Amino acid sequence: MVVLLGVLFVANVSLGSVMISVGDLLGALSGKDSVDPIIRQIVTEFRLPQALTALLSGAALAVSGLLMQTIFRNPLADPFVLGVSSGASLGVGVVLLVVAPAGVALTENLGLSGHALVVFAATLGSAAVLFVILILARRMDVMSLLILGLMISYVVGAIVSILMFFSMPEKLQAFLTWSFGQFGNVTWNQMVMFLPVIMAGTLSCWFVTKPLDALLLGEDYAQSLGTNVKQIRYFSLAIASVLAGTVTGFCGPIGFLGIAAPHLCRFLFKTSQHRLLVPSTMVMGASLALAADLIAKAPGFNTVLPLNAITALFGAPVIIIALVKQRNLRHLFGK
Amino acid sequence: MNTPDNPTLEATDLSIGYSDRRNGVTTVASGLDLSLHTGKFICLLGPNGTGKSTLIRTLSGIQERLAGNIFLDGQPLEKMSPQKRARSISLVLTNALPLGIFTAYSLIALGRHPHTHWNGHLTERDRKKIDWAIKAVKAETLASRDMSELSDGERQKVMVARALAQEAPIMLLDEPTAFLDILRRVELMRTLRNLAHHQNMAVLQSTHDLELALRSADELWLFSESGNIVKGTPESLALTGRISEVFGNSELEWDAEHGSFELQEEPCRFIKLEGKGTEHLWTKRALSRLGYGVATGTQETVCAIAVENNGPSPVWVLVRDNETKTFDSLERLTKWMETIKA
Repeated sequence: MVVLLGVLFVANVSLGSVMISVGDLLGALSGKDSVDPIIRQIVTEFRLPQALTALLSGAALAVSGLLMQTIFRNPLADPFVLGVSSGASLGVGVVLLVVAPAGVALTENLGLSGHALVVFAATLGSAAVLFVILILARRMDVMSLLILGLMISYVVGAIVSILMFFSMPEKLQAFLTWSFGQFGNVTWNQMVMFLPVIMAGTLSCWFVTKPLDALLLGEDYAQSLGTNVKQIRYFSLAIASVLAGTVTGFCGPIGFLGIAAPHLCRFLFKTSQHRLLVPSTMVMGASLALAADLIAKAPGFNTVLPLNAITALFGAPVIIIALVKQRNLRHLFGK
Repeated sequence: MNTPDNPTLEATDLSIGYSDRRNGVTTVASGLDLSLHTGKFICLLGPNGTGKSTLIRTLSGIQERLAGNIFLDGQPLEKMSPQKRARSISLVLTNALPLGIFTAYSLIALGRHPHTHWNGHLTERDRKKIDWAIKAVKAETLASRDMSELSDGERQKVMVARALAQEAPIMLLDEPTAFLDILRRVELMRTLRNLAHHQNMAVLQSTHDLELALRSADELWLFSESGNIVKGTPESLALTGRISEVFGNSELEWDAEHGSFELQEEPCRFIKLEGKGTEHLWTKRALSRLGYGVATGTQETVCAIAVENNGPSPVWVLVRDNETKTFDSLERLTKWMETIKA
């Protein structure tokens, strides 16, 4: 699997609207003079950060999906089940559809940072939802939280559509582009923020694999095994939301990876033990993200497809096949 | 080792129930003084809704007590770290299927959590303990199988093994036999009693199975609807009629002779019944089911039945209006009785 991930990473960097041979790729990276400076610039300035972003985002979304599925005891839970992505889209919506038209000069004068503003708004939006959820998580049971998350999504979705209804077409276009999702948005400057957050989030999951296993038995059993259930729930929700929120902020809402990767890993490894699932889900998520990004870049064609559509279009059948082979989900998630 | 004077788990003046912000405090029972000793198998009995589960949950430390004290080996339970508590008390609940894909072995291995490091790595000692737990409940053939393939009885066995692997001297079980058939129930009860006696554990099990509890428990705790717990050996509770006080009502009558409750229905028709032994007993029960009482003196009788079990197989001879009929099985007799009833 790790080998597959490596192959996908290299493929992702070398393939695109401009094809780059592996030789040129190595040359560009090692700084040989023989390589065309334009190719070098493409590799270092665009392809490499994009592939790295895809890898990190995939791992982050997948592992937060795994956390959510275990915490909520629900096979349909994904990183966005608590409304984190809706929060992000509200943030972006407010910036693009309300602030931008009102202060067009402001964003356009800031030039490149217009995009940084979107990232900032999305992160702020998801952080706001996250904050509400975490405050409520202290006193609500898991089922109510799940419903609450769904309700937040609906309300925020409604506000966003009202905003869209009253906004200018060109701003609407910008919003739509964001909501399609893409990994190519993260520059090296932003990577300084993106990378440490994702690394810290994904690595900290390794410390909770044991209590997460216990939680599969139900909260009562977990508690009787000496697990501090509330603490683990809180910690996992926080990690999952930060990961999902960060990825959504930088790359837009990318559906499906979070729900698909854990299921595929359970299917492949026939286990629910988190000691195995956490690392394998990360690798799986990263591979899926790289593959989806590769397809979205449509190598050989001079266009880019919406990433969100690709993840669902190719991911859903894979899940369906896995489930049909597994016969049914009730085996996985009890009664 | 603990002597009876030094109980393993002791509760004094304990109040159990629920408290939440909106409904305030709901007290289920209060003023309970209880103690669990190693080497003893205790059954907790009581009508539905009296708070058996709440008591088990409170004693195991996963639900907060409302008042009073719980001591584990003399130390207040709530002051213990969750891990230390988990090393002392294990828990088995009703028919809870875990999420996800687990082999029976990997599920039992979860019982080692209080003993393993942060990443749950199993040492040689852990594996030995798991193997021992599997053997103790005779689940060797189940170990490699997937939990979702197992029957309720097998699953419950695995859950008991998981609790055993926890290596705690106290095991609390909340209606572990609820979904099992009678053979599986007898088997599980025997296993639990053996664990208490031979592994020197303190085992407390809540159950609805009065007859089995009477036969296998060292001590019974009877949880009455008023929130009291009556304690004693099964036999003395049966003899003194405390069992019928807790469970009995106008429709159920405690049959101290057989150690069970009988449906109390006033028979309106009577039959003269002669004979003795097991056949006599079951004939009486069959007739009682059909609504006939056995005439004890002056009542007017529908017919007379004599059970003759002197020969190689028992024969039922029925005399009715000077007509004599012979049946070679109880089934034939009851079938015929049903026809004259109509």
